[in-house]
Amino acid sequence: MPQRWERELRRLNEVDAPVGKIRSRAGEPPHGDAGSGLPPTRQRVVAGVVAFGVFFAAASFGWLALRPTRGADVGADGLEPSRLVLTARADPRTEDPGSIELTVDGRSVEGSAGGFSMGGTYEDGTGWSEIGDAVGPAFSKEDFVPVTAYALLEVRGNYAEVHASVSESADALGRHDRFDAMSGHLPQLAAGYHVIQFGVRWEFPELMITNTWFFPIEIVASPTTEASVDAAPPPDDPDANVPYGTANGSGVLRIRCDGEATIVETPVVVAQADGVHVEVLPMGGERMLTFREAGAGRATFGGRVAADGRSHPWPIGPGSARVACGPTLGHVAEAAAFEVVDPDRNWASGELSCDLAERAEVVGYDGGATEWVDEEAMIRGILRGVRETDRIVPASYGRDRLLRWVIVRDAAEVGVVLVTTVTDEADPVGGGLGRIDGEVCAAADIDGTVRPRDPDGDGVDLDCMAANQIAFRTPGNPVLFGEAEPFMRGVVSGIRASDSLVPPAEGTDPSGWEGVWTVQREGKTVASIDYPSLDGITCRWNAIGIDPDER
Amino acid sequence: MTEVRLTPDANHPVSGRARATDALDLGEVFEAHAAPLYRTILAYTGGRADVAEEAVGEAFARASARSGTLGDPVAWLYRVAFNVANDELRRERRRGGAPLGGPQPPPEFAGLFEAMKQLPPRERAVMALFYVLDLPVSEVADRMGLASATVRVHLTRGRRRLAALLGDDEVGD
Repeated sequence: MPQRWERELRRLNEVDAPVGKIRSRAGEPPHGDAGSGLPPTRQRVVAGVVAFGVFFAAASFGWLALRPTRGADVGADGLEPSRLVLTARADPRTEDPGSIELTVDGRSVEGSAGGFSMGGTYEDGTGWSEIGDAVGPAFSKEDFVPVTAYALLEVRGNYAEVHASVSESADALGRHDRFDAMSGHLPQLAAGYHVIQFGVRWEFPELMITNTWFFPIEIVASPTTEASVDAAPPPDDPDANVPYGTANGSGVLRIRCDGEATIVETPVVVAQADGVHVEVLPMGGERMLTFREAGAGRATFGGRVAADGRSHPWPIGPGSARVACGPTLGHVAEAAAFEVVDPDRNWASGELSCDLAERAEVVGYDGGATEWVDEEAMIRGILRGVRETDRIVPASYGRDRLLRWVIVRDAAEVGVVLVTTVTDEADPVGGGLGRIDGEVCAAADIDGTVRPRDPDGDGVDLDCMAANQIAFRTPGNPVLFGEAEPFMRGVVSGIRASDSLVPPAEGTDPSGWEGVWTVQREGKTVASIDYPSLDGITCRWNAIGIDPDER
Repeated sequence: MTEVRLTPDANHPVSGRARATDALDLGEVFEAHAAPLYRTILAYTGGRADVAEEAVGEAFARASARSGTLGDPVAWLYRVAFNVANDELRRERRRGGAPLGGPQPPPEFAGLFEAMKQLPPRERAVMALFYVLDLPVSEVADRMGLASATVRVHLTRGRRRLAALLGDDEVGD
């Protein structure tokens, strides 16, 4: 029976619509276009102050909800970092709020106008201003241009100032994190869909303009130019003595490549949140950089640096390291030493601090994937036993190939997990699933919501890889009488009406009910359920066995 | 490329603005969707007939001014109309409130509209599309450019909020 408000809402569909007036209005030119009725330029004398607050608040778009893909292995060896060029130009002689264009490797990105403001004063001293709140449709999936993580970013034009921010994901309406557009590269971003927001301010003698544009990008690869040269053996106890160091050092590792020689001009460099920033001084052509014994991770890796010497941040842990530049990767004959310090403790290697025998698998999930603020909140919210004092940091400054996250306790890495959020039409009410899985040091007493067990223990082969199988329990199932199948359909969540439940093989139980049932979906075995305990194993993401009250 | 025309009438001031192949008859879209879109925006704005009229008119005006870029004109129109209405309401807030003497919503819906205004924009939009137009979740998702799961989340929250604001007394149909 509908509630009163529900009925009233439905009755709105019977309200008369002024179709004639709307048709007439639709026949007029759009009012929201960016054309302005500004006074002639010659009338503008002195630039006035225009509210700059519209910079990042002018537009509010309904971003397309796109499936976040955090946690996927998106590594791509040998990829060059994307090169983004932002061109912001305005001409004070025109009545135009300026243009902001973004290209990725020469390809233009179809952006969306946010809003602009222009202002000045007339000859009589009175001020004027014009604010345009542009609105546009949400981006479609095809609009998102592939970009490698840590892409290079160059800003061109006659701007006075450029502000930049980027959305956590395309679905995170209004949540934008600021970054420095002049840093030369994009900030650390998880693989998936993001919207970059550029706010540009121009100042001319007779005019001040601010304008905002949005550009959709898709981060498609986490590591970019690095290529493993030879994998160093994992250290016995990598975190026992991580030399985080103090903040005395350069913010950028400056390297000079002089013929065969490699000269480090900043022997101590301070790691930033996204890694060690590197600048290679003019070196006469494209060269390869090779880092050896690179800090606490003791890794060896390298990659290409463009002819202009610009580079993205590198995942070099704190400690001593060596670098060499040369025509080939692994050219280390003339390596020069330097020291990385990490006073803010941004570094985590992703290597657990405990022996193999002391590790435990951990799996946790919860509904409402669209509601988690970030990965750290998910890890803290879903896993049990994570302490408030534990630090949650992305492995390798966020440059880990699998985008793993590390739980650090007292400088020891006690957990390494993958964070994945998925929402799609197949998910039940609750906005999808957030899933954490990985390994922890058993002594840390960190646990998930599900205790994994041997996926083959029930003797049923599911049509998904063992790594994608999770165990579930049906908590507090009531004792009901009746047949087994409707009982399972009624109690175990996530079973669709179109799913088939196949009873245990004959002979295992006289009633034909007790034992391991299987759930068949579209010709595949996607779950097994033990009757009457209703414990089971399910292929991840099919949502079978998840308590609806926890979504 | 897609041409959009507001009306099939070639003499109409808007028709013929865009010239391209594979013409899309926007007039047909107008006949089928202008009124439902108006009602949806009316609910979304909490009974602001003037804003709804402007938003729907503006959305069609923009559609007719664009050529070749409307893959799904209906979804596009809904999103633009929502955005235009949202912007208008935001501008009003900056100016200090709705103009005095504006059109008043029908009194029988006054309580409902007041409650709708207290919902966040996306919840309002989802509730309007789902209940006023009686669209299935998948269709609401298409018009909003959201995942179905996200729509269901907004529906659940919207129902709870309206029940809390308006009471959960049930009525028979």
